[in-house]
Amino acid sequence: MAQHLETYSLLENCLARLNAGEDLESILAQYPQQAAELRPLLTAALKARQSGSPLRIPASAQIDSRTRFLVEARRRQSQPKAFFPRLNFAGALMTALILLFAGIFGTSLASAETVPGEALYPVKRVVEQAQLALTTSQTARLDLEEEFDRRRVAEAEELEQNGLTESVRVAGPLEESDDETWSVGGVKLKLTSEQAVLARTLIGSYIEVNGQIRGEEGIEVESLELRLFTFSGTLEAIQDTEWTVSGVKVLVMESTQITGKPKIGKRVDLTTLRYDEDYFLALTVRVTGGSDGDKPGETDKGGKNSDDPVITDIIDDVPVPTIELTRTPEPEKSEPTHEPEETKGSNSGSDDKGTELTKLIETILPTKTPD
Amino acid sequence: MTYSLNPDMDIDGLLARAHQFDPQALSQLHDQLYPQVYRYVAYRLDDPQACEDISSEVFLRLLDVLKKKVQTVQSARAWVMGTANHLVMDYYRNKYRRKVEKLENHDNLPDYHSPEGETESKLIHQEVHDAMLNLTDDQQHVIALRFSQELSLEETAQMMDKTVNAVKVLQYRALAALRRQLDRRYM
Repeated sequence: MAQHLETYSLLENCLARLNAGEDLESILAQYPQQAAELRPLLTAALKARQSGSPLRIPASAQIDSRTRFLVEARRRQSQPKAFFPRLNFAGALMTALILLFAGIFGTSLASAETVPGEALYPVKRVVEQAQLALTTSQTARLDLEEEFDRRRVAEAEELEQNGLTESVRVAGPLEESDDETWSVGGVKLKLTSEQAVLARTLIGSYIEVNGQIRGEEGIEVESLELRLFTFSGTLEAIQDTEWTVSGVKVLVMESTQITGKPKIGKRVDLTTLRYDEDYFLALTVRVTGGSDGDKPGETDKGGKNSDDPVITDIIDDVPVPTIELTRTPEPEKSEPTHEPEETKGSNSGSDDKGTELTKLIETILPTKTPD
Repeated sequence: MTYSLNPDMDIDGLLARAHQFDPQALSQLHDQLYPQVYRYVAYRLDDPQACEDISSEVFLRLLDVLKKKVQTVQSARAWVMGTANHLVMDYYRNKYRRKVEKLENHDNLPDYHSPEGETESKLIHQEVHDAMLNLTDDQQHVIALRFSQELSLEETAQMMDKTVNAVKVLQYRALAALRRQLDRRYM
């Protein structure tokens, strides 16, 4: 029995070392006598660990769960307390409000799996906006936004699999695979050669695509633009080019336009692009005020600043180049041989924007700091 | 440790306020524990919707015992993980099961997402998940606790309400059984 216990402890010892990052072979080499017994167990352990490693917890799931938890707690708490009339009234009001939210989130369960074109789909989008509005933490909001983008992608994938045609709008990192197929978050894109040229300058960037999904052919792209993330928050740290704004890491480049004097503790408005998984590249930074002793009057010039953190996807009033690739107004399966002249003419406007952006991207992307 | 509490947080105060159903304390408690519960459940299930439902249900049930049984955050953690285990087992006993056909059509795994290795991660998860189904309840529980997140032996023992030595023996047998099941799948 003592013999056995030793083996069990030895296994635990090896597991701890595997966990600490030690190599399987070097561990086994130290126990030549038990290696044959340990190897299958440790390889199984490695696989078991791999099985759990890269899980992403959906922000929306956590928020839904927390909401249900709090609603239920409130419901239970309000049952025994009925003494003070005022308190009771406040409680009733609170319960009514919470039930309202529960209603919203309850419906969200029914609408959660709908796709564009179905009756409950608009409800789903409204619920998402409500969730965003109820989330004040800057990082949680970004997570949530990203989660919603992934839902758009999942919906598009479902439409794709079912061979349906529907207008869609998806966002995610732009990728090109070896055989020159393009995709956003895994959904295939049909790009014209002209669009592909510009797309090539945007690989890895977080973009937004409008178009028609046509079953397995993927999305016929009508417009493709860089997703701009704007948000405001408190400047918490500056480390070389990496700034932390309310918990979000932002890269500030030479080409970033900075208005005002950035200082730790000040409030800043940012317009950023997203590149790769974790980089937000600042295009503009505007210092709008500070926590101590700043005049409140000077905070607002753009007319949309406030004390609460604000994120909006689509900005119309910020002078930042965006790219719009308008697809030629031809139906699917156009003959590539004779392209009408006027098509090129009508696109010239966006071409200008395109080159402007390409320049911008070229100035920004190569300077991306390696970790 | 992956789930350590924020050191600034007044842990005992948090529980005392949670006992009063103070929304802020409950909210903090929930957010402290949720990731661990979700990881655990996602590890054992291949249905993201059921995974969300069960994780959420764990917390609703926590309200029943909060005042009576839970005096520390650590004991709350142990309780929710134990309950997650029970709910997962219930799920497999068909209490929660629904939409079985849909699952097979959709390759519907939780979001094991990494741009390059996504497909591979999903395959490994599927493989381990399927192999696990043939293990005993305790064996599945110990593997999920130790490998869905990096829980130490002592923490695992506390959550399973067993001695450290008992967990050592159990995990040895669980890994041996998992190995056998994985091998069987390759043949």
